[in-house]
Amino acid sequence: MINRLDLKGIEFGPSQVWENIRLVPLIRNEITSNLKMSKVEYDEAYSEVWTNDQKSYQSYIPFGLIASWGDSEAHLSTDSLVKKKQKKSAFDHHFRLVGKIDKNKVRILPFHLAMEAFLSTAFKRPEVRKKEFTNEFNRFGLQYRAELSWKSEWLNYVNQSLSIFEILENQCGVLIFISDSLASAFLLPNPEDYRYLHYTLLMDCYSDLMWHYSNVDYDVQKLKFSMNKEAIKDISSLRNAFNKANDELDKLNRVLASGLFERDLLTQEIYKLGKNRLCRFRTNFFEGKSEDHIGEMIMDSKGGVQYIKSYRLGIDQLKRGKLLQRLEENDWDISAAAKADELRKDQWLLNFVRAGLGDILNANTLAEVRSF
Amino acid sequence: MNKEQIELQDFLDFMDAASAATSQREFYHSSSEQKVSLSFFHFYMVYSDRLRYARFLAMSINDHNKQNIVFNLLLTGKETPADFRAEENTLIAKTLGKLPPQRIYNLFFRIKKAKINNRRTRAFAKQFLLSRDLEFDAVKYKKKLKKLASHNHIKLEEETNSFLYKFKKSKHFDTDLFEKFRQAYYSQSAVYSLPFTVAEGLAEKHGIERSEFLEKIEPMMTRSEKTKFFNSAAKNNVDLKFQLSSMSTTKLFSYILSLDLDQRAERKEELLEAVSEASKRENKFIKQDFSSTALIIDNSYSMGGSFQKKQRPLAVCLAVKSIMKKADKSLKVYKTNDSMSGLFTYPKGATCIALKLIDALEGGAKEIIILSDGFENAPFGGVDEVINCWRKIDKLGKVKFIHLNPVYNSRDFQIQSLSEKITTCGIRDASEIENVLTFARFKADVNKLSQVDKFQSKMVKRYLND
Repeated sequence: MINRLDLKGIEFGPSQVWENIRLVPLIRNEITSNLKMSKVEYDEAYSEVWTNDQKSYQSYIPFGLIASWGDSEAHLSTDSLVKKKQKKSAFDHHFRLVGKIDKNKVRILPFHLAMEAFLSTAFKRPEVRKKEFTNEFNRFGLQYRAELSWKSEWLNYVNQSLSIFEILENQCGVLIFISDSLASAFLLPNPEDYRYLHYTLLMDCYSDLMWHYSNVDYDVQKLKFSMNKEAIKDISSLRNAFNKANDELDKLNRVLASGLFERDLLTQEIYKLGKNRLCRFRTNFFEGKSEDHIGEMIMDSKGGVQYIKSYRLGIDQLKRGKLLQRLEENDWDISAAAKADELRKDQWLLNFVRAGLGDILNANTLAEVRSF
Repeated sequence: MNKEQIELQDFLDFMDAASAATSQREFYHSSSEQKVSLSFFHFYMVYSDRLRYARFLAMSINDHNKQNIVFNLLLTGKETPADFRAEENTLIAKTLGKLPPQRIYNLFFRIKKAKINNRRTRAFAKQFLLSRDLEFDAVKYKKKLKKLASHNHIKLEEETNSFLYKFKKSKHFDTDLFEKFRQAYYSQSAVYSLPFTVAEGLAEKHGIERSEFLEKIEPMMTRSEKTKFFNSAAKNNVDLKFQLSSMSTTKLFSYILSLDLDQRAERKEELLEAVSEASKRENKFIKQDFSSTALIIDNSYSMGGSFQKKQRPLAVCLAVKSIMKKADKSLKVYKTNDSMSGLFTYPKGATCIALKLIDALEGGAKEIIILSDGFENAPFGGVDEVINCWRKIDKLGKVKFIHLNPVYNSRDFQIQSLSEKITTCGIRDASEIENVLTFARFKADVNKLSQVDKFQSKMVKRYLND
């Protein structure tokens, strides 16, 4: 399904800049949903998740989000949340990325919902045996796949800027720009939840690209606040000019974030939370834009976005995603995939091996690649 | 810029830094950043402009910086011009008489560490010890007194000597306090007759439980110790009782801000009365008319300060407000986050001073005083732009803007300013608001070094006669 994020009713506040990080608050003046988010923290940050289709996903998962919905206040309370004490083991175990806790309460593993989908692209095995691939691949398909992410505390200034960030009135979310490039978007249904969950941002992960960006000695420019001096005659026109200048800032911030918010997204519905739908999304990798994101969101019945958590893909991650997807689309036919990318077969294969995916090719094919 | 302008700018910047900076961690900057920045500034000043630097001792700057100035002057004694020696010595002597004892002991400790030992420092040390009750100091500042005495070749009385240097060999002391300490050193029950800070260390040594210790030591605690440990005592179910009324307004607001909103509501009348009394005591304005003055208080999240100085910036602002309100009730007050009032203020939300500035201008204020840490973010540069535009309406510049900042920005060697068109001044304690406002008005007009010298010599005269 193709969707565009509908940011109706959400304003972009004035950005707060610290070193090379820009944080743009997202403000919701009207709370339109009966959704409430909360969190649960896990003892062991390293966890294994058993997904629906008998696969296992292992990652650093320090916390999960709880989404509850309903009309009465009682339904919305999150007090009843009792975290089951796990048996002593090196890591936590979870069943399913979205687990039902109660009639109107689910546990989501944020960011991992999207990442799991990204990792499991092309997990289907080829229907007809292909001579270019190894035997194992022809029989079982992809066995495992791993991607690396950087903890937020390893990135320069990210955690520092989040801890000195001043949360605005009615703020429901934040956009994190590292060296003026959108790293992550986080949005919640209401301001109380945001105040409560702001610090979970300190436990987030970013791609290696963002790590490199955080090391760049880049001077983030504070957006110039300028008022139209010609229209000013008295104090009331001064106030008008001030408000107008504020709107201009809003527009500027929207331009900065257009890489995510003005793109068509491929979405997949995961769960129904009452009238709301939990989906995961990704931008179309083949559009050739400079940035690509994956993430998850909750949409209400009118299509308005209630919750977003997005992750900016690194260049290598993107390359692998693209190649695998291309292969799968073309039913594992390498020549067809190369043709779709407008490359010669040998060029395409070289890209494939260089992206670190060579281990599914058999010895003959690899020898062929090496001979170039 | 010519030499005079540079010296003038240095003077003004250092005045701000010396009144706001404390080398402690701030909301935006770490304590090491602050320390490095401030000590560099001191070093720069002592070599570039020694005369004015020494005279800063007479200005209304904070104790931390006075201590640093004295240290740097003693460190670089050789540089003193011959005709300035007498004045410098009187200034230092006067300051040593006024600073609290723990600061002076720390100062001499630093002097020892820096390996300074000359006739002048020894004379100051001797002079300082003459004014102290050495029995008490020997117990409370044991280690530091020991270092001070040995470094400066000072002969102490025999009993004090044996207390400091031969404590474990002594079986008995004739002096009451020494004997108490000796007993407390070996027995738990004798701990409670000693001053709090001394007893605290011994209690730790004996492994006395915190709640039991706090309950029994209460009569020996000073008021500032009680306010400091009030919350931790409450956690241990100990209720420390102390008089609010004799606290300074800033300290009082620091204390109020440390209470949660329910506690503030419960004790509202008591707190209001204490605030009123304290601000009345500290109000030095004489027949001041604030009817056309507006005060803008920034109570954004960053005004909560840091772990080292919790709530200090906001406490200073609120104390300034209550003192100025005491001087003239018609003062108009605006807060950046105006959803909370009076006693129930706490730091929250973003810094949107520009909007409040428009409100104040609309209210017809002729002098606008902004109290903020200067980190404006909603939107950045709003104040500057509003003032630029306002100049179009008010071409004669009738409205004056003053920005008072309790926080030092270590990266710029200045306090953070909101706009180049505003006079920005540092402030450490609200009781000095009258001096600070006088200085701010002086700063707005100053353009010659001779004016500065005149101002400073007036302050020096006042300080030495005080």
